[in-house]
Amino acid sequence: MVTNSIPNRQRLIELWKVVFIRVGALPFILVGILVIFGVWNPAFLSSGNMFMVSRSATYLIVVTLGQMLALLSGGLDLSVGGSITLISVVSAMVMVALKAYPGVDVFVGVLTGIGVGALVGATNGYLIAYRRIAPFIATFAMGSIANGVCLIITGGGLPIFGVPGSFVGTLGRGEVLGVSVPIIVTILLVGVMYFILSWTRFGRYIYALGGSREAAHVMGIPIRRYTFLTYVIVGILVGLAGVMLLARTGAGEVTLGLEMPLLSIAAAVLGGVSLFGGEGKLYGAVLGAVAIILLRVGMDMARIGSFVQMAAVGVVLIMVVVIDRYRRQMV
Amino acid sequence: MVKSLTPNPQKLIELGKAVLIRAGVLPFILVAILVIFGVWNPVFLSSANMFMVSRSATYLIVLTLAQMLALLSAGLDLSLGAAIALISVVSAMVMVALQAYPGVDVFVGVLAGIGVGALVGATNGFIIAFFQVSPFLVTLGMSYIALALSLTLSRGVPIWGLPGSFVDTLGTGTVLGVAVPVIVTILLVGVMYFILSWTRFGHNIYALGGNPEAAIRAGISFRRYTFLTYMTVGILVGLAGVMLTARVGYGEPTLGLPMPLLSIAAAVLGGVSLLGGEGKLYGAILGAAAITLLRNGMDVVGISSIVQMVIVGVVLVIALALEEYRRRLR
Repeated sequence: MVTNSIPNRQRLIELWKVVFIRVGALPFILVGILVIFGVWNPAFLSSGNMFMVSRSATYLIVVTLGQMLALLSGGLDLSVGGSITLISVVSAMVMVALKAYPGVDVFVGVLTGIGVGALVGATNGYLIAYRRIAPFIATFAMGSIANGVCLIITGGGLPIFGVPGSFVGTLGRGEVLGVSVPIIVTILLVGVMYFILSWTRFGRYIYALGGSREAAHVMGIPIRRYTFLTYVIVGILVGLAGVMLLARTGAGEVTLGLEMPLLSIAAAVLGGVSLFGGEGKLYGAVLGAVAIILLRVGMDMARIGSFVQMAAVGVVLIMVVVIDRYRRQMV
Repeated sequence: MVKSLTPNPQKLIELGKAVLIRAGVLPFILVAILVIFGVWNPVFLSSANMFMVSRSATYLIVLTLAQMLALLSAGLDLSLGAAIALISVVSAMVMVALQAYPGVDVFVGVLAGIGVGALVGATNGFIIAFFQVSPFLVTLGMSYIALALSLTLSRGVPIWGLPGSFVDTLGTGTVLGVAVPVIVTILLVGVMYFILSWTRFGHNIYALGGNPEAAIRAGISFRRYTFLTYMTVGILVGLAGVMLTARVGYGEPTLGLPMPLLSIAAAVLGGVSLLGGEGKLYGAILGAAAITLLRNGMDVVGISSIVQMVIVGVVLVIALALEEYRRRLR
């Protein structure tokens, strides 16, 4: 019995379906963005532009790594915006205050910045893990507190200038072997996160926490402690991102983190991290952040008005969520 | 044995705990707000101020009712702020365009505003119900879209020239000495009470939010109820948006932007669960009243608006921590 050969078109559709189920919507969206904006303005695809995109993406990638942790554990972190602002301002103030001691000023400033991030994270963790307050509310409150404190210590929003040139020179614009420093730091952090999530018990527990709290409880995981630690790590990551951003902009500014919460959540979700916890791959989160930045830069280069850009982000967000739903059903 | 008449601190604490268990966290918060700001600046407690507070509270109350519906269904609506902006702009533009036909302009404008609200709600509801995706993300995306539309249509500037009749009746008018927005709100509360407590629709919303699997197995259509829930939210938002526009007197493309978070805070304060299926109407109303009182109190004593957001957050966290403590006491 000779079976008829399946028409090529059908084979293609099957192949596409398999790829789609395996890798999700994101690669297609990325390709779509590259194609659409590349055609619209070929400068978009230039190496110079791509280099700039990768540099800009680092900050969002680091924050998205943190957001991914929070999401995996079944929560989320809305405080990353206010936190980054506070970190950059406090860090800048410390560096300016210790101006007389070059070298020490940068060192202490960076440590303080990361410390502030960890502090905010620890407070989030305490409220969520030990006081059982919903992450949405706890982190939102912390975010506005951080923002408020920041505005108060800057006397109403004045930027803090006078950050040491050495700091900006290395962490901000510096290069090692031709690769810009922020990118190196980001790659290192992604590596660390990969190790934590895939190779340590801590990582497995975080997935368990988000996947099913009851199952985690039955498995004997100290839920409160691990939830707390998760948010502390998120805080440290945000601290690093804040310090890096400070080096990039050269001034402790109050507007630095405004869109971070929503953009990092969008990036993580785009990358396949589930809002309900327990699900999500690291490369997805990284790609999601890259996609968001690409989208932004592409729209800027295509001279799309900022209102329309806003709408586009909203549309993309909804589209991705819907497409992902279909993908889940197809499995 | 004559017992000492001086109040025993131990007994007071016991009394406090008992009240906490029975009546919840909200009475404490309300009393604290009244006392703290009343002492700080007695003008706060004046009848003129309280009258103004009751007028401003109406908008948040209506929006909190809407948010409560979304929360009861185990979702939430982050788009209601941007929706209000869009409603404001659209209804203002319609009224200005139909200026030549007094009476009709207001009527059509109001309908257009409510219609926009319903449209946004229906779109939210459709996507959430039929694609079964996260309300958080859908309403978040929708808020971006609605705000962008609002800013584009209005080109970023307020729309003046609203008919005087509109502003005078819906905005500052009174009927028998009671402000019109207050009357509208009381009516809406009545309607909501009826729907939630006396209709199958209301019961099913609670069921679907509280225990979705059981509800679906019992035959409640997830799609239909979720869609209808968000559309009702949209209609309520439409009404609130039109009322707010009348209050400020022009079409404002950024009207209502803090509202989603404030309405969630008010609902949660009032005992509506973020996880769905739980919450009483009077709680939501009191929560909205508490938030409005808090903001008014901070205005009266002159606290800057950034610090105000901080304090709202702090109060919310304290309230929730107290609520958790109460749960453990029971």
